[in-house]
Amino acid sequence: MQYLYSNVNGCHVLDGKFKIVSTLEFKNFDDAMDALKSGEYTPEEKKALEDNPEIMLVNPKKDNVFRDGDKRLKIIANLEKKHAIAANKRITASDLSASVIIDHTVIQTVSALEEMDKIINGLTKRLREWYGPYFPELCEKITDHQKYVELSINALENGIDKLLKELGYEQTFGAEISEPAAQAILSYAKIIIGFYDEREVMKKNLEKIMKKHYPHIEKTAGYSIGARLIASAGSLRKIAIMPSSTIQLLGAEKALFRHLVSGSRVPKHGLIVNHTSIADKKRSERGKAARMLANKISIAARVDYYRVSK
Amino acid sequence: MQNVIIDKKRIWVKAVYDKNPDFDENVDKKMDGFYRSWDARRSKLAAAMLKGVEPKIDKGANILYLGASHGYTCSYVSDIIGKSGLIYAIDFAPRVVRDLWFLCEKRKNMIPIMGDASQPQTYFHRVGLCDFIFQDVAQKNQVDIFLKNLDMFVKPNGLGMLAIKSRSIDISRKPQAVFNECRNVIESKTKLIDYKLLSPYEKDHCIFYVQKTQ
Repeated sequence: MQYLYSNVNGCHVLDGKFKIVSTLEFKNFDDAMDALKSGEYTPEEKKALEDNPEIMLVNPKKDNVFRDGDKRLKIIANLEKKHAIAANKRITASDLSASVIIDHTVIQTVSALEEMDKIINGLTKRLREWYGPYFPELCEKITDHQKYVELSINALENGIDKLLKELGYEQTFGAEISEPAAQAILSYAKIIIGFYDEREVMKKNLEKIMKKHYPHIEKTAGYSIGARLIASAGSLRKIAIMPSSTIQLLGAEKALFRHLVSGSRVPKHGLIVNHTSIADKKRSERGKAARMLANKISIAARVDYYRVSK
Repeated sequence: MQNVIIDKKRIWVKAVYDKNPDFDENVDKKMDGFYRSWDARRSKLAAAMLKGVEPKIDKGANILYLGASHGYTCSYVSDIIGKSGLIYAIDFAPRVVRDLWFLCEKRKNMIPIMGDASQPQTYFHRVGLCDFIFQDVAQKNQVDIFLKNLDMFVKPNGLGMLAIKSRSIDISRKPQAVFNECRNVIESKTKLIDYKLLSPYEKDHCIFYVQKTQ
Protein backbone atom coordinates (compact mmCIF):
# COMPACT_ATOMS: atom_id res chain seq x y z
CA MET A 1 0.00 0.00 0.00
CA GLN A 2 1.31 3.43 -0.96
CA TYR A 3 0.21 6.83 0.26
CA LEU A 4 0.35 10.25 -1.35
CA TYR A 5 0.89 13.08 1.10
CA SER A 6 1.44 16.77 0.28
CA ASN A 7 2.95 19.26 2.63
CA VAL A 8 4.83 22.52 2.27
CA ASN A 9 7.95 20.68 1.09
CA GLY A 10 6.33 18.94 -1.83
CA CYS A 11 4.19 16.00 -2.85
CA HIS A 12 5.48 12.81 -1.26
CA VAL A 13 4.90 9.15 -2.05
CA LEU A 14 5.02 7.07 1.13
CA ASP A 15 5.44 3.30 1.43
CA GLY A 16 3.48 0.96 3.69
CA LYS A 17 5.61 1.92 6.68
CA PHE A 18 4.96 5.62 6.08
CA LYS A 19 8.48 6.42 4.96
CA ILE A 20 9.10 8.76 2.05
CA VAL A 21 9.92 6.90 -1.16
CA SER A 22 9.99 9.78 -3.61
CA THR A 23 9.17 13.47 -3.68
CA LEU A 24 7.78 15.72 -6.37
CA GLU A 25 8.51 19.39 -5.86
CA PHE A 26 5.78 21.91 -6.59
CA LYS A 27 6.21 23.72 -9.89
CA ASN A 28 4.05 26.65 -8.84
CA PHE A 29 4.40 26.92 -5.07
CA ASP A 30 1.76 29.58 -4.40
CA ASP A 31 -0.95 27.92 -6.47
CA ALA A 32 -0.23 24.55 -4.88
CA MET A 33 -0.54 26.05 -1.39
CA ASP A 34 -3.86 27.65 -2.31
CA ALA A 35 -5.12 24.31 -3.57
CA LEU A 36 -3.99 22.48 -0.42
CA LYS A 37 -5.58 25.10 1.80
CA SER A 38 -8.97 24.71 0.17
CA GLY A 39 -8.70 20.92 -0.05
CA GLU A 40 -8.31 20.70 -3.85
CA TYR A 41 -5.88 18.45 -5.76
CA THR A 42 -2.59 20.03 -6.76
CA PRO A 43 -1.31 19.35 -10.32
CA GLU A 44 1.43 17.13 -8.85
CA GLU A 45 -1.13 15.06 -6.96
CA LYS A 46 -3.24 14.67 -10.09
CA LYS A 47 -0.23 13.45 -12.01
CA ALA A 48 0.75 10.96 -9.32
CA LEU A 49 -2.83 9.67 -9.17
CA GLU A 50 -2.84 9.16 -12.94
CA ASP A 51 0.43 7.28 -12.83
CA ASN A 52 -0.70 5.05 -10.00
CA PRO A 53 -4.48 4.84 -9.48
CA GLU A 54 -4.00 2.46 -6.53
CA ILE A 55 -2.28 5.07 -4.40
CA MET A 56 -4.12 6.40 -1.32
CA LEU A 57 -4.36 10.17 -1.17
CA VAL A 58 -4.14 11.90 2.19
CA ASN A 59 -6.50 14.84 1.91
CA PRO A 60 -8.59 16.43 4.65
CA LYS A 61 -11.63 16.71 2.42
CA LYS A 62 -11.73 13.54 0.39
CA ASP A 63 -9.98 10.69 2.04
CA ASN A 64 -10.56 8.04 4.65
CA VAL A 65 -6.90 7.51 5.55
CA PHE A 66 -7.28 10.93 7.01
CA ARG A 67 -9.88 9.81 9.52
CA ASP A 68 -7.60 7.06 10.84
CA GLY A 69 -5.75 8.90 13.61
CA ASP A 70 -2.87 6.45 13.93
CA LYS A 71 -1.96 6.47 10.26
CA ARG A 72 -2.43 10.21 9.92
CA LEU A 73 -0.06 10.99 12.76
CA LYS A 74 2.59 8.70 11.31
CA ILE A 75 2.17 10.43 7.96
CA ILE A 76 2.48 14.00 9.20
CA ALA A 77 5.61 13.09 11.17
CA ASN A 78 7.34 13.23 7.77
CA LEU A 79 7.36 17.03 7.69
CA GLU A 80 10.99 18.02 7.55
CA LYS A 81 11.78 20.82 9.97
CA LYS A 82 14.39 22.78 8.10
CA HIS A 83 12.39 23.27 4.94
CA ALA A 84 9.14 23.66 6.82
CA ILE A 85 10.32 26.83 8.52
CA ALA A 86 11.32 28.61 5.32
CA ALA A 87 8.28 27.46 3.34
CA ASN A 88 5.85 28.34 6.11
CA LYS A 89 7.32 31.80 6.46
CA ARG A 90 6.94 32.30 2.75
CA ILE A 91 3.26 31.31 2.85
CA THR A 92 2.57 33.52 5.86
CA ALA A 93 4.22 36.49 4.15
CA SER A 94 2.06 36.11 1.06
CA ASP A 95 -1.05 35.53 3.23
CA LEU A 96 -0.27 38.73 5.08
CA SER A 97 0.06 40.83 1.97
CA ALA A 98 -3.09 39.27 0.51
CA SER A 99 -5.02 40.13 3.67
CA VAL A 100 -4.84 43.85 2.91
CA ILE A 101 -7.92 44.77 0.88
CA ILE A 102 -9.92 47.93 0.25
CA ASP A 103 -11.73 47.40 3.57
CA HIS A 104 -8.47 48.32 5.26
CA THR A 105 -8.54 51.80 3.70
CA VAL A 106 -12.14 52.32 4.80
CA ILE A 107 -11.46 51.21 8.37
CA GLN A 108 -8.35 53.35 8.72
CA THR A 109 -10.07 56.38 7.20
CA VAL A 110 -12.95 56.09 9.64
CA SER A 111 -10.55 55.85 12.58
CA ALA A 112 -8.43 58.69 11.25
CA LEU A 113 -11.48 60.91 10.90
CA GLU A 114 -12.54 60.18 14.46
CA GLU A 115 -9.09 60.94 15.79
CA MET A 116 -8.83 64.08 13.69
CA ASP A 117 -12.11 65.40 15.10
CA LYS A 118 -10.74 64.96 18.59
CA ILE A 119 -7.46 66.66 17.77
CA ILE A 120 -9.10 69.59 15.95
CA ASN A 121 -11.42 70.13 18.88
CA GLY A 122 -8.53 70.34 21.31
CA LEU A 123 -6.46 72.62 19.09
CA THR A 124 -9.34 75.03 18.52
CA LYS A 125 -10.08 75.22 22.22
CA ARG A 126 -6.49 76.21 22.78
CA LEU A 127 -6.77 78.90 20.08
CA ARG A 128 -9.83 80.33 21.83
CA GLU A 129 -7.89 80.54 25.10
CA TRP A 130 -4.90 82.08 23.34
CA TYR A 131 -6.57 84.63 21.10
CA GLY A 132 -9.60 85.25 23.35
CA PRO A 133 -8.06 88.03 25.51
CA TYR A 134 -7.19 90.09 22.41
CA PHE A 135 -10.63 89.82 20.78
CA PRO A 136 -13.17 88.57 23.39
CA GLU A 137 -16.23 89.52 21.32
CA LEU A 138 -15.35 87.10 18.53
CA CYS A 139 -14.79 84.29 20.99
CA GLU A 140 -18.12 84.94 22.68
CA LYS A 141 -20.33 85.38 19.59
CA ILE A 142 -18.98 82.73 17.22
CA THR A 143 -19.71 79.31 18.69
CA ASP A 144 -18.87 77.28 15.58
CA HIS A 145 -15.27 76.13 15.84
CA GLN A 146 -14.34 76.14 12.17
CA LYS A 147 -15.85 79.57 11.58
CA TYR A 148 -14.00 80.92 14.61
CA VAL A 149 -10.67 79.78 13.25
CA GLU A 150 -11.38 81.31 9.83
CA LEU A 151 -12.50 84.63 11.30
CA SER A 152 -9.57 84.92 13.69
CA ILE A 153 -7.15 84.44 10.80
CA ASN A 154 -9.04 87.16 8.96
CA ALA A 155 -8.87 89.45 12.01
CA LEU A 156 -5.17 88.86 12.53
CA GLU A 157 -4.35 89.57 8.90
CA ASN A 158 -6.68 92.48 8.14
CA GLY A 159 -7.36 94.08 11.51
CA ILE A 160 -10.43 93.69 13.68
CA ASP A 161 -12.39 96.89 12.98
CA LYS A 162 -14.61 95.54 10.17
CA LEU A 163 -15.35 92.33 12.00
CA LEU A 164 -16.18 94.21 15.16
CA LYS A 165 -18.87 96.19 13.34
CA GLU A 166 -20.33 93.03 11.80
CA LEU A 167 -20.62 91.57 15.25
CA GLY A 168 -22.49 94.71 16.40
CA TYR A 169 -19.87 96.35 18.64
CA GLU A 170 -18.44 99.86 18.58
CA GLN A 171 -15.33 99.15 20.58
CA THR A 172 -13.45 96.16 21.87
CA PHE A 173 -12.19 95.75 25.43
CA GLY A 174 -9.57 93.27 24.24
CA ALA A 175 -5.92 93.87 24.88
CA GLU A 176 -3.60 95.39 22.32
CA ILE A 177 -1.81 92.64 20.42
CA SER A 178 1.93 92.82 19.83
CA GLU A 179 3.48 91.81 16.52
CA PRO A 180 5.26 88.61 17.72
CA ALA A 181 2.12 87.40 19.53
CA ALA A 182 0.03 87.99 16.41
CA GLN A 183 2.53 86.08 14.28
CA ALA A 184 2.54 83.13 16.68
CA ILE A 185 -1.24 82.92 16.87
CA LEU A 186 -1.59 83.32 13.11
CA SER A 187 0.72 80.45 12.24
CA TYR A 188 -0.98 78.27 14.85
CA ALA A 189 -4.43 79.06 13.47
CA LYS A 190 -3.27 78.26 9.95
CA ILE A 191 -2.26 74.77 11.06
CA ILE A 192 -5.78 74.21 12.40
CA ILE A 193 -7.34 75.41 9.16
CA GLY A 194 -5.09 72.94 7.37
CA PHE A 195 -6.54 70.17 9.51
CA TYR A 196 -10.08 71.22 8.64
CA ASP A 197 -9.26 71.15 4.92
CA GLU A 198 -7.59 67.77 5.18
CA ARG A 199 -10.61 66.40 6.98
CA GLU A 200 -12.88 67.48 4.13
CA VAL A 201 -10.56 65.84 1.60
CA MET A 202 -10.63 62.61 3.59
CA LYS A 203 -14.40 62.63 3.75
CA LYS A 204 -14.63 63.15 -0.02
CA ASN A 205 -12.19 60.29 -0.58
CA LEU A 206 -14.18 58.03 1.68
CA GLU A 207 -17.35 58.83 -0.19
CA LYS A 208 -15.64 58.06 -3.50
CA ILE A 209 -14.38 54.70 -2.21
CA MET A 210 -17.76 53.78 -0.79
CA LYS A 211 -19.50 54.66 -4.06
CA LYS A 212 -17.07 52.64 -6.11
CA HIS A 213 -16.58 49.53 -3.99
CA TYR A 214 -19.73 49.34 -1.87
CA PRO A 215 -22.43 50.95 -4.06
CA HIS A 216 -25.39 49.18 -2.46
CA ILE A 217 -24.37 49.84 1.12
CA GLU A 218 -23.70 53.44 0.16
CA LYS A 219 -27.22 53.76 -1.25
CA THR A 220 -29.04 52.17 1.68
CA ALA A 221 -27.04 53.42 4.66
CA GLY A 222 -25.15 56.44 3.34
CA TYR A 223 -21.38 56.53 3.00
CA SER A 224 -20.61 57.64 6.52
CA ILE A 225 -22.73 55.09 8.36
CA GLY A 226 -21.82 52.39 5.86
CA ALA A 227 -18.12 53.00 6.41
CA ARG A 228 -18.52 53.00 10.17
CA LEU A 229 -20.43 49.72 9.99
CA ILE A 230 -17.61 48.15 8.00
CA ALA A 231 -15.07 49.50 10.49
CA SER A 232 -17.05 48.18 13.44
CA ALA A 233 -17.56 44.73 11.94
CA GLY A 234 -13.98 44.44 10.68
CA SER A 235 -14.61 43.77 7.00
CA LEU A 236 -17.29 43.63 4.33
CA ARG A 237 -17.21 39.85 4.42
CA LYS A 238 -18.10 39.85 8.10
CA ILE A 239 -21.11 42.09 7.47
CA ALA A 240 -22.20 39.93 4.56
CA ILE A 241 -22.30 36.77 6.70
CA MET A 242 -23.77 38.55 9.70
CA PRO A 243 -27.44 38.23 10.69
CA SER A 244 -29.21 41.55 10.23
CA SER A 245 -30.08 41.67 13.94
CA THR A 246 -26.36 41.90 14.64
CA ILE A 247 -25.99 44.71 12.11
CA GLN A 248 -28.82 46.51 13.89
CA LEU A 249 -26.84 46.47 17.14
CA LEU A 250 -23.31 47.10 15.79
CA GLY A 251 -21.85 49.85 17.93
CA ALA A 252 -24.20 49.15 20.85
CA GLU A 253 -22.14 46.28 22.25
CA LYS A 254 -21.84 47.85 25.64
CA ALA A 255 -25.59 48.19 26.04
CA LEU A 256 -26.16 44.70 24.65
CA PHE A 257 -23.79 43.01 27.09
CA ARG A 258 -25.20 45.06 29.93
CA HIS A 259 -28.58 43.68 28.95
CA LEU A 260 -27.29 40.11 28.78
CA VAL A 261 -25.55 40.30 32.14
CA SER A 262 -27.90 42.35 34.27
CA GLY A 263 -31.18 42.16 32.38
CA SER A 264 -31.53 45.86 31.62
CA ARG A 265 -33.46 47.03 28.55
CA VAL A 266 -32.48 45.72 25.12
CA PRO A 267 -30.81 48.34 22.91
CA LYS A 268 -32.89 49.13 19.82
CA HIS A 269 -30.13 50.31 17.54
CA GLY A 270 -26.39 50.85 17.34
CA LEU A 271 -24.51 52.91 14.78
CA ILE A 272 -27.45 53.08 12.37
CA VAL A 273 -29.32 55.40 14.76
CA ASN A 274 -27.79 58.38 12.91
CA HIS A 275 -29.54 57.43 9.68
CA THR A 276 -32.34 59.84 8.78
CA SER A 277 -34.94 57.10 8.51
CA ILE A 278 -34.45 56.36 12.21
CA ALA A 279 -33.48 59.72 13.64
CA ASP A 280 -36.69 61.30 12.24
CA LYS A 281 -39.02 58.76 13.82
CA LYS A 282 -40.80 58.93 17.15
CA ARG A 283 -39.15 57.01 20.00
CA SER A 284 -41.76 54.28 19.89
CA GLU A 285 -41.21 53.62 16.19
CA ARG A 286 -37.43 53.65 16.17
CA GLY A 287 -37.07 49.96 16.98
CA LYS A 288 -39.16 48.96 13.99
CA ALA A 289 -37.36 51.40 11.70
CA ALA A 290 -33.97 50.16 12.88
CA ARG A 291 -34.95 46.56 12.25
CA MET A 292 -36.08 47.39 8.73
CA LEU A 293 -33.00 49.41 7.86
CA ALA A 294 -30.74 46.68 9.21
CA ASN A 295 -32.54 44.15 6.98
CA LYS A 296 -31.92 46.28 3.92
CA ILE A 297 -28.27 46.91 4.80
CA SER A 298 -27.80 43.19 5.26
CA ILE A 299 -29.14 42.50 1.76
CA ALA A 300 -27.06 45.34 0.31
CA ALA A 301 -23.89 44.02 1.94
CA ARG A 302 -24.47 40.57 0.49
CA VAL A 303 -24.97 42.01 -2.97
CA ASP A 304 -21.80 44.07 -2.64
CA TYR A 305 -19.71 41.16 -1.38
CA TYR A 306 -20.91 38.41 -3.68
CA ARG A 307 -21.42 40.31 -6.93
CA VAL A 308 -19.25 39.03 -9.73
CA SER A 309 -17.37 42.12 -10.87
CA LYS A 310 -15.33 43.61 -8.07
CA MET B 1 11.60 22.03 33.68
CA GLN B 2 15.12 23.06 32.83
CA ASN B 3 15.83 26.71 32.20
CA VAL B 4 12.98 27.87 34.42
CA ILE B 5 13.32 29.33 37.91
CA ILE B 6 10.25 29.86 40.07
CA ASP B 7 10.91 31.83 43.23
CA LYS B 8 7.94 32.84 45.36
CA LYS B 9 5.76 34.96 43.09
CA ARG B 10 8.16 35.41 40.19
CA ILE B 11 9.17 33.29 37.30
CA TRP B 12 12.30 33.45 35.14
CA VAL B 13 13.24 31.74 31.91
CA LYS B 14 16.79 31.39 30.62
CA ALA B 15 17.31 33.34 27.40
CA VAL B 16 18.46 31.05 24.62
CA TYR B 17 18.71 33.46 21.71
CA ASP B 18 20.14 36.68 23.09
CA LYS B 19 19.79 38.82 26.15
CA ASN B 20 17.89 41.66 24.47
CA PRO B 21 14.31 41.75 25.69
CA ASP B 22 11.56 41.16 23.10
CA PHE B 23 8.76 42.70 25.15
CA ASP B 24 10.51 45.20 27.44
CA GLU B 25 10.83 42.60 30.17
CA ASN B 26 13.59 42.61 32.78
CA VAL B 27 16.65 40.55 31.98
CA ASP B 28 18.82 39.51 34.93
CA LYS B 29 22.14 37.78 35.07
CA LYS B 30 21.99 34.68 37.26
CA MET B 31 24.58 31.98 37.86
CA ASP B 32 24.48 30.33 34.44
CA GLY B 33 23.37 33.03 32.04
CA PHE B 34 20.73 35.63 31.41
CA TYR B 35 17.18 35.08 32.58
CA ARG B 36 14.09 36.88 31.27
CA SER B 37 11.35 37.68 33.77
CA TRP B 38 7.92 36.34 32.84
CA ASP B 39 4.84 38.36 33.73
CA ALA B 40 2.05 36.11 34.97
CA ARG B 41 -0.52 38.79 34.29
CA ARG B 42 0.32 38.80 30.61
CA SER B 43 0.77 35.10 30.10
CA LYS B 44 -1.69 32.41 31.12
CA LEU B 45 0.96 29.72 30.95
CA ALA B 46 3.09 31.60 33.47
CA ALA B 47 0.03 32.13 35.66
CA ALA B 48 -0.72 28.41 35.56
CA MET B 49 2.85 27.56 36.53
CA LEU B 50 2.72 29.94 39.48
CA LYS B 51 -0.54 28.33 40.54
CA GLY B 52 1.22 24.99 40.71
CA VAL B 53 0.61 23.32 37.35
CA GLU B 54 3.76 21.57 36.15
CA PRO B 55 3.58 21.23 32.38
CA LYS B 56 6.10 18.85 30.91
CA ILE B 57 7.62 20.81 28.05
CA ASP B 58 10.87 19.11 27.10
CA LYS B 59 13.87 20.49 25.34
CA GLY B 60 13.51 19.86 21.64
CA ALA B 61 9.75 19.39 21.80
CA ASN B 62 7.44 20.28 18.93
CA ILE B 63 4.69 22.58 20.06
CA LEU B 64 1.45 23.67 18.47
CA TYR B 65 0.44 27.04 19.84
CA LEU B 66 -3.08 28.23 18.97
CA GLY B 67 -3.81 31.88 19.56
CA ALA B 68 -0.21 33.08 19.59
CA SER B 69 -1.11 36.77 19.35
CA HIS B 70 1.97 39.01 19.50
CA GLY B 71 4.01 36.07 20.71
CA TYR B 72 4.59 36.98 24.35
CA THR B 73 4.05 33.50 25.78
CA CYS B 74 5.45 31.97 22.60
CA SER B 75 8.78 33.70 23.09
CA TYR B 76 9.20 32.08 26.52
CA VAL B 77 8.15 28.67 25.27
CA SER B 78 10.71 29.13 22.51
CA ASP B 79 13.37 29.65 25.19
CA ILE B 80 12.20 26.61 27.15
CA ILE B 81 12.33 24.18 24.23
CA GLY B 82 15.63 25.57 23.00
CA LYS B 83 17.05 25.68 19.51
CA SER B 84 16.28 22.05 18.72
CA GLY B 85 12.56 22.46 19.35
CA LEU B 86 9.89 23.95 17.12
CA ILE B 87 6.77 26.02 17.70
CA TYR B 88 3.96 26.32 15.21
CA ALA B 89 2.47 29.65 16.27
CA ILE B 90 -1.00 30.10 14.82
CA ASP B 91 -3.13 33.18 14.89
CA PHE B 92 -6.02 34.49 12.86
CA ALA B 93 -5.58 38.28 12.91
CA PRO B 94 -3.26 39.80 10.28
CA ARG B 95 -2.20 42.61 12.61
CA VAL B 96 -0.70 40.34 15.24
CA VAL B 97 0.77 37.90 12.75
CA ARG B 98 2.79 40.82 11.43
CA ASP B 99 4.42 41.26 14.86
CA LEU B 100 4.80 37.52 15.17
CA TRP B 101 6.60 37.35 11.84
CA PHE B 102 9.31 39.70 13.03
CA LEU B 103 9.67 37.80 16.31
CA CYS B 104 10.19 34.64 14.28
CA GLU B 105 13.06 36.30 12.39
CA LYS B 106 15.03 36.34 15.63
CA ARG B 107 13.70 33.11 17.10
CA LYS B 108 14.53 30.51 14.51
CA ASN B 109 12.54 27.79 16.29
CA MET B 110 9.22 29.52 15.69
CA ILE B 111 6.97 29.31 12.65
CA PRO B 112 4.30 31.96 12.13
CA ILE B 113 1.10 30.65 10.58
CA MET B 114 -1.89 32.76 9.71
CA GLY B 115 -4.82 30.42 9.96
CA ASP B 116 -8.17 29.76 11.55
CA ALA B 117 -7.73 27.38 14.48
CA SER B 118 -11.32 26.16 14.15
CA GLN B 119 -10.46 24.76 10.70
CA PRO B 120 -7.30 22.71 11.18
CA GLN B 121 -7.66 21.15 7.73
CA THR B 122 -6.69 24.50 6.18
CA TYR B 123 -3.20 24.32 7.72
CA PHE B 124 -2.89 20.55 7.78
CA HIS B 125 -0.11 20.56 5.17
CA ARG B 126 1.91 23.12 7.13
CA VAL B 127 2.12 21.47 10.55
CA GLY B 128 3.99 18.34 11.54
CA LEU B 129 3.64 15.95 14.47
CA CYS B 130 3.53 17.75 17.82
CA ASP B 131 4.29 16.71 21.40
CA PHE B 132 2.43 19.49 23.14
CA ILE B 133 -0.45 21.78 22.29
CA PHE B 134 -1.28 25.02 24.02
CA GLN B 135 -4.46 26.86 23.25
CA ASP B 136 -5.54 30.34 24.22
CA VAL B 137 -8.07 31.55 21.69
CA ALA B 138 -11.04 32.83 23.76
CA GLN B 139 -13.72 31.58 21.37
CA LYS B 140 -17.19 30.32 22.06
CA ASN B 141 -16.41 26.81 20.81
CA GLN B 142 -12.86 26.73 22.09
CA VAL B 143 -13.11 23.29 23.70
CA ASP B 144 -14.18 21.90 20.34
CA ILE B 145 -11.31 23.66 18.61
CA PHE B 146 -8.87 22.28 21.15
CA LEU B 147 -10.09 18.69 20.80
CA LYS B 148 -10.01 18.90 16.98
CA ASN B 149 -6.41 20.10 16.95
CA LEU B 150 -5.37 17.68 19.68
CA ASP B 151 -6.78 14.84 17.64
CA MET B 152 -5.23 15.99 14.38
CA PHE B 153 -1.67 16.97 15.28
CA VAL B 154 -0.63 15.61 18.68
CA LYS B 155 1.05 12.24 19.04
CA PRO B 156 -0.49 9.50 21.21
CA ASN B 157 -0.03 10.27 24.92
CA GLY B 158 0.95 13.80 23.97
CA LEU B 159 0.09 16.64 26.31
CA GLY B 160 -2.16 19.63 25.96
CA MET B 161 -3.16 22.71 27.82
CA LEU B 162 -6.05 25.04 27.28
CA ALA B 163 -6.96 28.30 28.92
CA ILE B 164 -10.70 28.89 29.13
CA LYS B 165 -12.19 32.34 29.35
CA SER B 166 -15.68 31.87 30.70
CA ARG B 167 -16.83 35.27 29.54
CA SER B 168 -16.25 34.49 25.89
CA ILE B 169 -18.18 31.21 26.18
CA ASP B 170 -21.24 32.60 27.92
CA ILE B 171 -21.27 35.96 29.59
CA SER B 172 -24.61 35.51 31.35
CA ARG B 173 -23.70 32.35 33.28
CA LYS B 174 -21.57 31.93 36.39
CA PRO B 175 -17.92 31.19 35.51
CA GLN B 176 -17.88 28.05 37.65
CA ALA B 177 -20.86 26.61 35.76
CA VAL B 178 -19.08 27.18 32.44
CA PHE B 179 -15.87 25.58 33.76
CA ASN B 180 -17.74 22.53 35.02
CA GLU B 181 -19.41 22.02 31.68
CA CYS B 182 -16.07 22.31 29.85
CA ARG B 183 -14.53 19.93 32.34
CA ASN B 184 -17.14 17.27 31.64
CA VAL B 185 -16.50 17.48 27.89
CA ILE B 186 -12.72 17.40 28.33
CA GLU B 187 -12.77 14.51 30.80
CA SER B 188 -14.93 12.45 28.45
CA LYS B 189 -12.43 12.83 25.58
CA THR B 190 -9.03 13.06 27.31
CA LYS B 191 -7.25 12.27 30.56
CA LEU B 192 -7.35 15.29 32.85
CA ILE B 193 -4.10 15.80 34.74
CA ASP B 194 -4.64 19.16 36.36
CA TYR B 195 -7.21 21.89 36.60
CA LYS B 196 -6.67 25.30 38.17
CA LEU B 197 -8.44 28.64 38.36
CA LEU B 198 -6.15 31.48 37.29
CA SER B 199 -7.19 34.09 39.85
CA PRO B 200 -5.67 36.46 40.93
CA TYR B 201 -3.65 36.71 37.70
CA GLU B 202 -6.64 36.54 35.37
CA LYS B 203 -10.31 37.13 36.02
CA ASP B 204 -12.82 34.35 35.15
CA HIS B 205 -10.17 32.13 33.59
CA CYS B 206 -9.22 28.56 34.24
CA ILE B 207 -6.67 26.19 32.80
CA PHE B 208 -6.88 22.50 31.93
CA TYR B 209 -3.82 20.30 31.59
CA VAL B 210 -4.63 17.08 29.80
CA GLN B 211 -3.06 14.04 28.24
CA LYS B 212 -4.25 12.60 24.97
CA THR B 213 -5.66 9.12 25.22
CA GLN B 214 -5.57 6.74 22.30
